[in-house]
Amino acid sequence: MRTMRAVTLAAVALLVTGIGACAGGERSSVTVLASWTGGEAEAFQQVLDRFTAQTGIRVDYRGTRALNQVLTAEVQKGAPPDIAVLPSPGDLGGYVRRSAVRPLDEVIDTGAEQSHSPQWLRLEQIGGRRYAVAIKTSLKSLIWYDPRRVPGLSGDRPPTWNELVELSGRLSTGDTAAWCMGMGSTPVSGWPGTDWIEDLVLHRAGPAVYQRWAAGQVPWTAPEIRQAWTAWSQVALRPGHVRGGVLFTEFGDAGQAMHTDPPGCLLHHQASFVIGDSRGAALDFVPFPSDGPRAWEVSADLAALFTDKPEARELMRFLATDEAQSIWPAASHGSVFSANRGVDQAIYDNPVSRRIAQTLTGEAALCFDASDLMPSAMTNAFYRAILEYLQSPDRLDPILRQLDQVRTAIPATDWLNVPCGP
Amino acid sequence: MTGFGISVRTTRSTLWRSLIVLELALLVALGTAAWVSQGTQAAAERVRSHSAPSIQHILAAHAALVEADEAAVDSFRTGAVGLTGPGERYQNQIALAGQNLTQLAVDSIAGAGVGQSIQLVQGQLAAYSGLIEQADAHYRQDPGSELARADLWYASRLLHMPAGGILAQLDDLLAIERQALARELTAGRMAAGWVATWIVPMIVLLVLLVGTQVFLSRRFRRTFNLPLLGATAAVLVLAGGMSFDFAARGELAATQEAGDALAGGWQARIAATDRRGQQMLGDLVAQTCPDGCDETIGRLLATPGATGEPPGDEALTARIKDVDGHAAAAADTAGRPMPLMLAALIAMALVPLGLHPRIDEYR
Repeated sequence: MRTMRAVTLAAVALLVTGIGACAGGERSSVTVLASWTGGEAEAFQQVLDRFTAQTGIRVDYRGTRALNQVLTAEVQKGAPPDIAVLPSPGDLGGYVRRSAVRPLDEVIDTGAEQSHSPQWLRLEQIGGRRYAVAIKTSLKSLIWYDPRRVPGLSGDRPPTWNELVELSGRLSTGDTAAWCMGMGSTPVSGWPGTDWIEDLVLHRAGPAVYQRWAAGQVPWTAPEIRQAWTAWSQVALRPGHVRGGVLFTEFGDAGQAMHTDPPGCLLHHQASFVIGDSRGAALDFVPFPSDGPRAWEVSADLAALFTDKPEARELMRFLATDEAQSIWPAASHGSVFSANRGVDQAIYDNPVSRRIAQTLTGEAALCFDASDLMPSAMTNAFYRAILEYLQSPDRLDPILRQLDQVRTAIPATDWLNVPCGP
Repeated sequence: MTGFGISVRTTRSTLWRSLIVLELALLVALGTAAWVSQGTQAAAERVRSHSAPSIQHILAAHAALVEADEAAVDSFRTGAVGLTGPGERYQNQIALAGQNLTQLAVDSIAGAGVGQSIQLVQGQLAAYSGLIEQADAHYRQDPGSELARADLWYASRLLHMPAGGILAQLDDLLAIERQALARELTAGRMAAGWVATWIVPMIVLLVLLVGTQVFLSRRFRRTFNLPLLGATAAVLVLAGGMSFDFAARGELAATQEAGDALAGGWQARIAATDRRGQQMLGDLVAQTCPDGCDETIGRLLATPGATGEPPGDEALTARIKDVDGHAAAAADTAGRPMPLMLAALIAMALVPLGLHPRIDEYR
C-alpha cells in the first residue's frame, strides 16, 4: 500500500514537473531593437528586467545608433526584431506603409489606454489606428535659463517675441552672449535649428498652419514659413547675441557655457532633456513666445510591434502600463518623462520636472516635432538648410526654393498628417 | 596468477585476454590521438584562414580610415582641396578601408553579428564620404566657408564618436575577433584538459605492453618477445608523432602573442596619425571659431596620442609576417594522421604476432 502511494506521488510529481517544463518551454524570448546605448540602454534594461521578473519571458535587447539602417535591412530580409523603438513618427510611418508594423488596437487593453491622454493616443496613431507606445517623451518649446543670472524672466509671465529679442540685446554684453546654441549632432547636424523654425511657425502662424506644413501642404516659400526663418535671424544671426561657433558646437555641449563663471551664454532653446545635463544648477524655463493660444512641441521614442508573437504583444502591453512607464523617469531623477497620466508625479524630484510632466500629460495642445513627422528626405534637407542658412543668410530664398523642390518631389502618400491636440 | 588486474584461470585465456586488451587499448590510443590531433589541425586552419586575417583586416581598415581623415584635413589645411579635393591619399585610403571591410566579411567566422556590424560600418562610411564631399563642395564655392570646415568636423566626428562612431565600431569588431581567436585556442579539443585524453591511454598502453612483456618473460622464460618489442617501439613512435600536436599548439599560442604585438604596434601608429589629424582639425576649427568652440577644440586636442615610438613600415611588416608565419607553421605542423595511423597499424599487427605463437603452445 505504502509502495503504491509512493509510486502515485512520484507519478503526480513527474506530471506536474513535465507540465511546468512544457509551459516554460512555450515562452520564447522577445527581441527588442532601439537606438539607446550606454546609460540610456541600462535604464531601458531596467524596464525590460521588470517585465522578465513578472512574466519569466526573456528579452534580448540590442542598441544601435544606426537603428534605421539595421531595421530596414532586417525588415527586407523578413527577419525583423519583435519590437523596435523608433525615434520619430516619420520613421514609424515608413514601416507602416510597408505593412511591416502591426496595429495595437487589439493588443493594448483599454485600462492602459485610459492612462494616456486622448491627444497622446492621437499622436501615436497613423491613419486612424494606433501603432505605437511612447516610451520616452520630451517637451520642446522651452527656453532654459538660470534664475539667479536672468532674474527678469518668469514662467508666470512668458515674454513675447519682441520682448525676447529685446532681452537678447540687453543680455549680450562683453564676453557673454544671450544665447547658447550648437548645431553639431553627427550625422544629423542642424536639427537644433529646425526646432527654432518649428517653434516660430507653431507660435506665430498657429497650430493649423504648423500641422499643414508638417504634412507637406504648405510651401516652404509661403510667407508664414519665410517669416519664421527671418524671425530666427533676429537672434541667431545678430552679432554678439549667440555664443560663437554655432556650427562647431555639439548640441549637448551648447548649454555648458551657462554654468561657467562668468557665463558664456544665458538662454538656451532646447528640449526637456537639458534638465539632466544642468550640472546641479537650478535651471528653470519659460515657454516659447506665442502669439496665440499656448501649444507645445513634443517628441517621443515610439515602440512598435513588428511580429505577432504572443510574448511580444505581452511586452507591448507591459510597456504601456503606468508601472513600466514609471521605471525610467524614476531612475533618471526627473530628466526622462512619460506620457502616461497614471505615473505618480512624485517620482519627478524637482518642481521644474513636475511642471514638464504636467504639461506633457495635461490638457495643453501638443504638436509632434514637425521634422520628426516629415519623410526622411525632407527632414535631412531641412537639417542641411539650417546649416546653409547660418552660413549664408542672404541665400534664404534659394534655400527655401530648394526645400520646396524636395517637398514637391515626395509623393503625397509619404507625408503624415498628425493633428495637434487637444 | 594475476595479469593486468584481471583474474586469470589459465595461461591460455590470460594470453587471449592480453591480446584483446592490447588491441583495444591500441584502438583507443589511436582514436583519441587522432581525435585530438584533428581538433588541433582544424583550429590551426581556422586561425590561419580566418581569425588572423580578420584581425589584420580590421586593423588595416582602422588605420586606413584614420589616415584618410588626416589626409582630408591636411588637404583643407594646405588649400590643396581647391584643386584636388580631399586628395589622392584620402581616396586611396578610403578604397583600402572598403577593401579590407569586404575581405573581413569574407574571412570572419566570429559570428553572425560581425556581418551586420560590417554593413553598419559600410553605411556610415558612405555618410562619412558624403560629408567630406559636402565640405569639398563648400570650399570650392568659398575657400573661407565656415560650413566647409564644419562639415569636415562633422565627418571626423562620425569617425571618432565614442558611442557608435565608425572607429568605435571597428574597435568592437576587433574585440570580437580577438575573443574568437582566444576561443579557438582554449575551447573544445584545444582545451588543455583534452591532451590527457590521448596521453593517458598512451601511458596505459605502454604499461600494458611492458606488463605483457614481463609476464611472457616470466611464464615462458624468454628474455624478449621481439614482435611485442616492435609494437612498443611503434607505440613510442605514435606518442612521438603527437609531439607535432604540442608543437602546433605552441605555434598557435605564438600566433596569438604575435597578434597582440601586431595590434599594439598598429594601434600605436594609428594613435600617432590620429593625434596629428585631430590636432590639425583643432587648429582649423580654432582659426574659424576664435571664441566659443572651447569644448570642441578641447575634445579634438584631447585625442590620445601614441604612448611610445610607433613602429615604422618595416617593423610593422615584420610583425605581420610574424603572425602569418606562426599561423602557417601551426597549420602545417598540426594533424599528421597518416604516420600516426601507420604506427598504430604496425603495433596492432605486431601484438598478435607476438602473442599468437605462445597461445599456440597451449592448443
